Amino acid sequence: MRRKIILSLFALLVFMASGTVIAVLYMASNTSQLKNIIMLHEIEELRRSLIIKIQNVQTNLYTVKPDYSRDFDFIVNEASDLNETARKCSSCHHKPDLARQIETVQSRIKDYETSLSYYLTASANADRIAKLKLDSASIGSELIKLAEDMSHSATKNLAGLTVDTMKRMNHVTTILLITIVVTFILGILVSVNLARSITNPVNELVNATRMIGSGEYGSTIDYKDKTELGELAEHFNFMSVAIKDGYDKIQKEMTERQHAEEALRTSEEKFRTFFKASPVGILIYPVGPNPFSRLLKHSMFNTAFHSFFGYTGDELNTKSIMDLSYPEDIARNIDLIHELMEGSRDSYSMEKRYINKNGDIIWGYLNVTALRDMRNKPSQIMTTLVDITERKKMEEEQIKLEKLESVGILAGGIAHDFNNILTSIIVNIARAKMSPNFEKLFEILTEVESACKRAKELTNRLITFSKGGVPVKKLSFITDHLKDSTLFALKGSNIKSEFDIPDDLWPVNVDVGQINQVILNLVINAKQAMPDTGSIHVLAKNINADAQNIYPFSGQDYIKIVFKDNGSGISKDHINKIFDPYFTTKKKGSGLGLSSAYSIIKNHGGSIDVESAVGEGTTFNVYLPAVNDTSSIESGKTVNRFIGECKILIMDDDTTLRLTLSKTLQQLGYVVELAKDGTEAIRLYSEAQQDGKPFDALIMDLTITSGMGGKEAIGKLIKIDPEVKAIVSSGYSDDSLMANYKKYGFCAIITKPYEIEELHALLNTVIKEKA
Amino acid sequence: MKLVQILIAACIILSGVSYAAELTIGLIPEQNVFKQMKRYKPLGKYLEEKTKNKISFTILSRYGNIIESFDKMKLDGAFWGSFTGAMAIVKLGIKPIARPVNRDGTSTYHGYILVRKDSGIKNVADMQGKVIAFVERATTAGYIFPRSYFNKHGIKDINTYFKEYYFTGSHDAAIHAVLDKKADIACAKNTVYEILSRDDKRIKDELMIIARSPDVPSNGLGLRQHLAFDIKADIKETLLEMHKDPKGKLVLEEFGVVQFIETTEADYAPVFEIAESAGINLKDYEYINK
Repeated sequence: MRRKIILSLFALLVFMASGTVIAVLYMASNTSQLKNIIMLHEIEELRRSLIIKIQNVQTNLYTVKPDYSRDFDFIVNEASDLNETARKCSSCHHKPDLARQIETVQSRIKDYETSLSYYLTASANADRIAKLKLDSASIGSELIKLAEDMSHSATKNLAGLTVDTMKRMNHVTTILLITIVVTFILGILVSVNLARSITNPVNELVNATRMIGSGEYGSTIDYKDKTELGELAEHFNFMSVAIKDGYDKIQKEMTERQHAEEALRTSEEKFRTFFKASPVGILIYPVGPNPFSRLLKHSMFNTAFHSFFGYTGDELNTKSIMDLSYPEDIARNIDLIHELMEGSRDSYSMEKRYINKNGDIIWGYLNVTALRDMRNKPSQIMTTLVDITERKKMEEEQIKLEKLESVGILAGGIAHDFNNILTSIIVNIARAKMSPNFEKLFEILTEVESACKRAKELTNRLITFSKGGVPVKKLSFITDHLKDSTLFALKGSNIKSEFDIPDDLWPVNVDVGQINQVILNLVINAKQAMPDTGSIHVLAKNINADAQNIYPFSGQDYIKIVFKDNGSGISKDHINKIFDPYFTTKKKGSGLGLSSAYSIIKNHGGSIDVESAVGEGTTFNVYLPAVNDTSSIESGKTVNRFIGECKILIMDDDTTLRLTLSKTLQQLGYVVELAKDGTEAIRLYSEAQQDGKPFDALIMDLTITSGMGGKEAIGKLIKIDPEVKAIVSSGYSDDSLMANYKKYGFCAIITKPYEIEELHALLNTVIKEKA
Repeated sequence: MKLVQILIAACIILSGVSYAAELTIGLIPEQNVFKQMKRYKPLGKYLEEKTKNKISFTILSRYGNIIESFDKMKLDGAFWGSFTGAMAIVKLGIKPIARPVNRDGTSTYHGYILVRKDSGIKNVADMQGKVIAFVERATTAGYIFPRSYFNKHGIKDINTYFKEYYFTGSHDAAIHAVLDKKADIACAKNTVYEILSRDDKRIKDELMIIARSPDVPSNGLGLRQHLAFDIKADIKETLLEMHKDPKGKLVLEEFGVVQFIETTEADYAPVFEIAESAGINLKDYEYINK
């Protein structure tokens, strides 16, 4: 706009200036010409004056007697003025011819002066005087003529100049008039245009501003151009839209704020509800000195919190954290709370023991957080407390299991080697017994054999302890086993037994031998708790999966077997240790009975627990997963003894055992070959196949130190001979193969130490089946 | 604007210059009367400024008229020639005041008898039957000295010795007369000779000085006897001191002299001697040209 105004005014000024300049130039030239004219008039006046003066001098020449009068001075003065007049004339004229004429006049005036001087001063004869006078007069006349000629031409010039000047003056007048009129018109047009350019958009702006003021936010104007007003309009529109957006935003924010406040109220209400109803205990107490000693009445806690301790809310208000804490866990907690207060940590967690209302030790998972104020300083402490008592119990059980496992592994290792040794002993004993020449030796060897069997039983227990060697399960009804094993264990005592076992007790998938062991251990334990007399009540029942939800049987049917005695009971100090290996309160006993039972039941996927108190007897609860399908229960088989010439391949890394077993089987009529590891066994078997003299059966040790074991060898043998008859032998192994030998390709298993009859019967069965 | 100027001028005129006295000083036609007037006007203006007396000059057409003119025209003073000054002292009782010092340092002049170099006139004898242009009877260099010279050379009657004689009225006219061959012999003062020769080198190139007179005082100012003493004193002091005034110095330069010096009657003694040698008695000398 500024540019527009400036340009408009500038154009107007330029036009006016142009006209004015032209007029001024004309006037200047006119002025110059007028000056010339004036000058010419002045010069003309001078010339006339010159002519008059010369004429006066001429007149005085003839009339004045210069002898004594002052008229001489008049002539002299007049003549002197002639020179001055001529000089003035010459200062004005510029035309060369006129300048020359003036010079001529000036020169002649000098001559005139000289001539006059001669005449006026000379005193001579009359002729000379008359001549001098005539000379002067002649020059004077010449001067008059010269001046008149100049005057005549000047007059002509003057007239021409005057006419020309008047014409130019008229031109100037015309130019000025035109300039004024056009400038006036242009000025009006420019003014109107500029005014409209300014007032129109300003009016629009004013209207839009009024509309905004009346609440119509977002009002815009349509004015557009490239000037400042266009830019102003554009920015005004932006501003109006921005005001509307801002207003809408504020409205929205206010609405949102209302919603937020409402949501906050709802949230606070939810928080209060959550706080109260939370299953996790929550405690919030203000920061201050001695937080552990302060009574909790100065704090805020929820129902879950005081319930954890078994107190009511009012009761808990009278307690402090110190009162509730297990003494051994207080120091660590205090250290952590101090770190929290000092700012070296923002929170901490720990598992901590407490003493509940009943005096029992309970476990809680503690999470403590510092709540900070605006200055980032701790203002409150928030504690969440989760009851982990059950989990800790489970962890303790897990620890026990792990203990058992490590001991079991050790026991297993020992048992493995021990069994090998025992097997060797037993086999040699059998050989010795087969020699009829040594009757005394037979008796001794029988006792040795008996000792070895006891050792075998011991190792079996150890193996059982280390996960029982994997139980060889089969679906069985254990009702008879419960009664038989119980009565067997009570033989020779005054303890009465009662049985409460339903006829439809569900079958369980168990290693019967191991279960019998469990029953024996539990009953023996009860028996030992009733040294004089007492009773033991054995009951069993089916538990449906939906009826109860007890770990570890969530969603599964099981049977519960209860062994309840009225013996001396178990103290609180001991009750958590009774399933620990080698724990015993008796003078005699290995301390492995209950731990072995525990291990066996766990291996079967079951659970065992105890309830007891001193003087109140003891109740063992055994839980076993039950199976409703009885179709897979195996019936017994009769082993036909077969004695014949069969070719047997024995694979075992124990050289002594290999040789002993070989000799024994040879005595029984078998043809035996030996291999120290799976590689050799495969080679021998393959060669025999190729020779047309195949082996009838193989006895393969599962575990071969530094060589291929039975598990790997059977796979290769099956490739050679899919009908291969292999018996897997092991003194100890937690390999699942022992429980699933058929799956791997074996047709039977035999556990070490085994008796020769056992082996012989098994060989007969295996070979017979082949046959 | 023009009206304002007129009013200012009127104020100046009315308020301004009021003169103590109006003095008329005569000027003898030493040279061209117009030059004479032009030469003395600045001096007159300076004297007006300094003495606050109106000074106006009047040209006396002839040397010889100066004595009568002085009385008749009621002149207060004049720049006298040496002879007219001597006569004025004797006849009018004029008091000499001051006379100029020439640029060459002299305050005197002398007369020349001039001829053209190509005239063949070398002495008085050669002048016989020639035309001689005097200046005026009342001029030392222009008449008295030549008469004295001719007397000394045995020429008593100039009417018969020369073919013609006449009086040019001014020294420059006499010099121009012989230069322009209007006369054969001219008599003029050296100062005019020098002035003219500065402007016209023909004068020294073509003219020859036959004789030279003794030095006589330059044309100086003499005032009438009864003029107010203070006026005379002012004018005298102004003239005698004007060479010390820068403005006065400029006027003197334009006038063609370096200063004015005091002049007394004693300074005119050489004039009296020349007049006597020319056989002229100043008291009854007929100095008017006929």
